[in-house]
Amino acid sequence: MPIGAIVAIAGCIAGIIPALHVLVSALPVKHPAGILVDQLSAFFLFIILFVSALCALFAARTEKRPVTWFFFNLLVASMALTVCASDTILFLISWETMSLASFVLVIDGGARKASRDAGWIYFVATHIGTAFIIIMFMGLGAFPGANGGFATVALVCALIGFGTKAGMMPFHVWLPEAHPAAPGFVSALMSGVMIKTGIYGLLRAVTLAGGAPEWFGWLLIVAGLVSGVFGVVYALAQHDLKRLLAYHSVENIGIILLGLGTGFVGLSRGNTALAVLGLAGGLFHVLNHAVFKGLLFLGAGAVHHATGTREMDALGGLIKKMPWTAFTFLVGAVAISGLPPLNGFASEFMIYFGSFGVLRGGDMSLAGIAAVSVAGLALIGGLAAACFAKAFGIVFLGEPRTKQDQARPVTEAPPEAVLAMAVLAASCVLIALLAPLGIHLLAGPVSVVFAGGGIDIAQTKAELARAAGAYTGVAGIFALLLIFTALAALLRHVLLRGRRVEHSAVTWDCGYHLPSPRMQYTASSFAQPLVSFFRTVTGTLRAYERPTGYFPGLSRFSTRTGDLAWDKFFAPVFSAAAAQLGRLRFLQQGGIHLYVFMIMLALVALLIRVFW
Amino acid sequence: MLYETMMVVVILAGLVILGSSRIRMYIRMAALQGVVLGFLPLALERSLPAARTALLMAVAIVLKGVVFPWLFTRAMREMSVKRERSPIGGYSGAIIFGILAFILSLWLSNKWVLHPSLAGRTPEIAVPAALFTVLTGVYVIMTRKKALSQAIGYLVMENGVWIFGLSLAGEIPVLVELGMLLDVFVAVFVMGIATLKLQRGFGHMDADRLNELKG
Repeated sequence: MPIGAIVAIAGCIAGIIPALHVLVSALPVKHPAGILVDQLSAFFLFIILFVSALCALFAARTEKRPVTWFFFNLLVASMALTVCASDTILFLISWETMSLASFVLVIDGGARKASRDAGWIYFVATHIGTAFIIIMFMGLGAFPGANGGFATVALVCALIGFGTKAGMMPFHVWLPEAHPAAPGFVSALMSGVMIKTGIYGLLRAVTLAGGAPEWFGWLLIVAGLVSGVFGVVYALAQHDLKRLLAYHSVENIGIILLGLGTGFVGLSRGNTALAVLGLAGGLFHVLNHAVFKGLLFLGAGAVHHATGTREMDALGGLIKKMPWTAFTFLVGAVAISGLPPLNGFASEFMIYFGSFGVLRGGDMSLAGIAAVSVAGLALIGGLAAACFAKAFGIVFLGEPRTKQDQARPVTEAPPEAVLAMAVLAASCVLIALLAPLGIHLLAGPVSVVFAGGGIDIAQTKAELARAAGAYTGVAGIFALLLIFTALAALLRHVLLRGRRVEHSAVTWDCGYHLPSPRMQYTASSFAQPLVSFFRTVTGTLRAYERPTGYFPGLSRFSTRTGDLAWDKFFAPVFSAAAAQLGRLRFLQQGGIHLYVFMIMLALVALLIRVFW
Repeated sequence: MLYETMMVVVILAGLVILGSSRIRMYIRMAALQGVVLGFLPLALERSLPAARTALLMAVAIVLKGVVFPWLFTRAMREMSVKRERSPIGGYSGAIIFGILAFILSLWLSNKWVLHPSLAGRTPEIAVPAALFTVLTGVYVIMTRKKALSQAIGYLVMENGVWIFGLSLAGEIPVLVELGMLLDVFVAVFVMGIATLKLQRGFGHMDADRLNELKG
């Protein structure tokens, strides 16, 4: 095992214990060097360290480059420092270290042009985000406790800056580029954990600005809905497995923002149930998304490593060769689709429950929240389930669509990798099972965010317990259903033991008698009805050469889905900026004499100006 | 009187560098400046120097009077470059610049309000001489085309900073001064290596033709 992996795992385990201690004991840890670990920090710290350790374990056998391990450890350390920093400068330094370390990991040695281009996009995006964050900090520092116009600007800057890191639409453009380019365990770390520092920063910015006004809550809800719905719609149209997962991160950030938004609206309207359950649901989803998205990206990384391709239409039938990867991926897929009884359902249930509670409370002015968030979550969940039916079905079921064993045989991932994925899959189940017991731990982080908002910790815990009770009922029914199904399957197995059951039938083969793996459903054909329904927003391009005549020759069909935010906003803005700034290019003559001359001219002018 | 004589020598050496085309002359004049300025603490204190000042003087004189000239001469011989080729602005332009720079330096030093503690101690010519030497160095960097001449220009500029530092700040920690010398040493060394690489990589060391890599 490389020393970098050992160090990473040992460091993460060493850090998890104090993080959990702070979370459970509610005693913040402070250090004069600008470190403050309160319950919100400890919550994020736990997520960072837990998933990072498993990502390191996953790659312990396959990744051998010391440089990669160096930057991996740097990334984990800087993420941990980011959520522990109470000093603005320390926060910005660790934030930048985090961005740069992950940039180096994205370019993956810099040998491939695709990785370099993706890294470049990420580099620009993350620094635009940091620019907004610096503006926000400078503003909040210059006018502490300012209200009105200035607080508006600061909060909007925080949303853009931290939203860029988190992958909020329309600032998400770096995710679908950077995640596919990075190695599997790095994209698991970045998508599962690193983008959550954006959520953390957003929450800290809100507390720093002295709480969120109601319009900010509504803004978060709208941003969350846009990210959630469009993220999953774009995910449906993808052919690249990791690109698909990257768009699902956009979608899940949308769900988290939706939760936070309902929480802030609830707080400013004095609706305790909505406030607590919205924020707690969003925070809970941060944990859950880290677990199942980490798991899914590790699974995608294992598939990529084994087959050498991420193109779903080239894969198929991997469940026979990689049973562990397939099974854990299935668990992650169920969890991310928000299906009971796994952990994705648990957190989405809290947001649902809080939103439905509004209707019962009688405050009909908030009914809009219920309508918007419940309908939005339901739409997102349904589309996500469709998308993962596609991803899992195409990649793991059926027959291989291309010859995959040519270079080397496709085999299961190494045992360390399987262990990492199995732990994450087990966590998906365990979190869902233990949610009713552990849900009160969320009261600490919630009270940090709502500090001074008029909701005490006992109220928070009461609301969480109420939600846990309802959740136990709903999830229990599904758990019973699952157990019943499993028992029925077991019974069938026992009854049929020792007897051969053979049943073969020919599927309708369109009159073609020699079916081949190429005739299976493809990812594009599976998603086609939904994709063409949303074509106006995704702008999917189709190239289609129909078969013609009685003896048709070659025909082809392909789709390509760009990204609306990139094609219609960033690309035009950047090319316009390049064209305008290009006018200044005459300044760059390439002659050192001229440069020294300009510097000296400026210095002499300043000198004369001073003494005039 | 000693101090003023030294400054006159330094200024004249600067003018020679401006008006000359031979790189050997640049090296000699820069070395002359360096050696003269090495004795500057003596002229300022008018007494036997303390041990650390003596050390500083020794290092400065050895570096600027022996090591740098040797390095430059060697580089010059290896690259077989003896003359500067048609500098921007010409040699007469350089002399005119020198005169204008001297006037500007005098004018600026008149405006310059020295700290009261220095008012009686610092000779009046210190500020204009220092400014003029810095400007000379910058002008050499700006107009001469051989990379070697530019390295020498950098050294001349540093000589100006040296006058400034020693004459205006009463007490400079010896560590700072030594650090400055080390800085110059490394810079000259790196420039020497860079010019050699230029010569080998491009077949010339003309800094005005280095824009081939411009985007």
